[in-house]
Amino acid sequence: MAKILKLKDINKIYGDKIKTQVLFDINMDFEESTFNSIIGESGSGKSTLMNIMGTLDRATSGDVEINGINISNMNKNELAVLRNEFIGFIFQFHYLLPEFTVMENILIPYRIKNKNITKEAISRAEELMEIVGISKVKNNKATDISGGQQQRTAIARALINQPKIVLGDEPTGNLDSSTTEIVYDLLRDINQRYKTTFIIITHDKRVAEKADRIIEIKDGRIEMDISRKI
Amino acid sequence: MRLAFSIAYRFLKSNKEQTALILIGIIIGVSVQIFIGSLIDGLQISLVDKTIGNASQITIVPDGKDKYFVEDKSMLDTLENNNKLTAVSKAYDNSAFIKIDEDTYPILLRGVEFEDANMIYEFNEKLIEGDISLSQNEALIGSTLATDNGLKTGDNIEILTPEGVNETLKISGIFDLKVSNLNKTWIVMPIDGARAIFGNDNQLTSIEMQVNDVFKADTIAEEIKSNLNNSSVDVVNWKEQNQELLSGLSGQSASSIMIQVFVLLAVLLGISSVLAISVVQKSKQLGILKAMGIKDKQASFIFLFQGLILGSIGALIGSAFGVFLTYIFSVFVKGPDGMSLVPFYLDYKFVGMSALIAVVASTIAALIPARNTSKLNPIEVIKNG
Repeated sequence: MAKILKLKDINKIYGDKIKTQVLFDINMDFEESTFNSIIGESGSGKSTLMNIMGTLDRATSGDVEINGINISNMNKNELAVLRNEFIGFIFQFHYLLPEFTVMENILIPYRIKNKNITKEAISRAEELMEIVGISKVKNNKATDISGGQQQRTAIARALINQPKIVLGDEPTGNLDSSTTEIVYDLLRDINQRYKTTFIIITHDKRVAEKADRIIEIKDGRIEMDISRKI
Repeated sequence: MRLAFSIAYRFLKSNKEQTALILIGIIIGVSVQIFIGSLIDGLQISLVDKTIGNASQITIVPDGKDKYFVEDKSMLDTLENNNKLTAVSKAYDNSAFIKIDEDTYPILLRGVEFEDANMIYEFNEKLIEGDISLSQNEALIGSTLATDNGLKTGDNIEILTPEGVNETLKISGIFDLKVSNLNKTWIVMPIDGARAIFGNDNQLTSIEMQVNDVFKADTIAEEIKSNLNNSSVDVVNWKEQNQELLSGLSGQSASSIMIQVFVLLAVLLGISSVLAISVVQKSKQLGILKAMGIKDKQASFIFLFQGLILGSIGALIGSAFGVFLTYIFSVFVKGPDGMSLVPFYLDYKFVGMSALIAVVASTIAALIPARNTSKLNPIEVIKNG
């Protein structure tokens, strides 16, 4: 299977005077349409790794290749376009725009990419809302729905541009355990339905165990990397 | 761009109090600017009108020490055809004395053609009794001269010229020009009658004129002078004769502009600081927008559009309110004579300009907050929850 994301000799050092190295020579790649989880204690460097994979942060040294393209020489605007088209983000907090409705929030990445909202975009948004189960609240303001519904909206938003990769940084960290279960099943379902690659950071061992592959990061190094044979 | 606009609009709509606060700031700023500007303009126009509205604004006089110059039909025709001039009135003036009982008083005997002179002095409207007569031995006298000496319409007066000529004139009417010196010394009569008294058939002492734009009187005077190309006459204008009034007016204009600039500056600082706070308030939303791929330029436009929207609405309401204030002031603030102290005067160009400046300035005020969005790093925002 094709490699959708490759990390080569990634080092990350914070600070100018007092240097703190967070990541040490990380070499990793991810196959298309897989469901991966990254675990590790807080401060292990897993969020930094995710930000580098998501092009939100740059590595101090090393190369990141997304869909076969090396992003090291891309400028801010090129990276913005790449993120918009290839990557969907789900964070611990939903970060929905409270000024907009559920439907409008989901369409924002689409509107960043395209001038006009087409019928196809609306029907895609409706399909996604159906899948994540928020069709009933589609015209509510983002603040007028429950925490679980907000996170589902964020998931639908991450998927609207049909990204190749979805990066999740503790996407259920803010939800209760039963909702967590439902959301993960949902992500798995989407992974199988759309063949989207998922890379999810989580605390929750039970959640991690459901993934095709579990990577553990400890003190900036890969401690463990197990793949479940499908 | 459309997304940036709709986000800008939603940001403003969702934060109603903040939006109202900035809007009120702009409205007050624009309306005060328009109010003060219009007030000062109105004041100046009424002041200029009171000072020179019924006086000659450009005058052709004999050159040097000469008292008279020869009436030139072609010269008068050219002047009458000049569309920058609203009135052209030839005059033959001479000083003389009026003899009442055994006393004599110095007067100025003015010979004019009333049809033309009325365009400047409005004798027809300023008569307090009698009529303007066109008869050669009839004259109008001023109200002060009349009351001081108990003269009334129909009385005869005796005029003594320095050359010793004695002439009796009949008072056909009494005028009040609201300037006591003129009311005391002017005796106005048809030009031919005045010439006959002094024996000067074809002479003029001045040609008096009014112009459509009083503040261009000096340049128009220059034009007339070079067109006439006549060495026996000189052309003077009210500006060179009223330097003090002019410097007073320009001082007033300067202070008015100063007030307007500082009001505008205060408004700008207000907009800029409130929007800068709003960047911080909306930093989470901006962070996620950036993560989702919005470009820095687009993100900046969210705030520029906010400035533009606020500026446009504020300028619109502000100009309406400013015009309203000016109108109210002219209606309700009245002098002891019941006339409005400052006439309602509106320069649409000034109002439009003020509104436009407010819109442009509000957008510029949004530049600093807009620039701040570029510095916003999505990781910082997302990391901090």
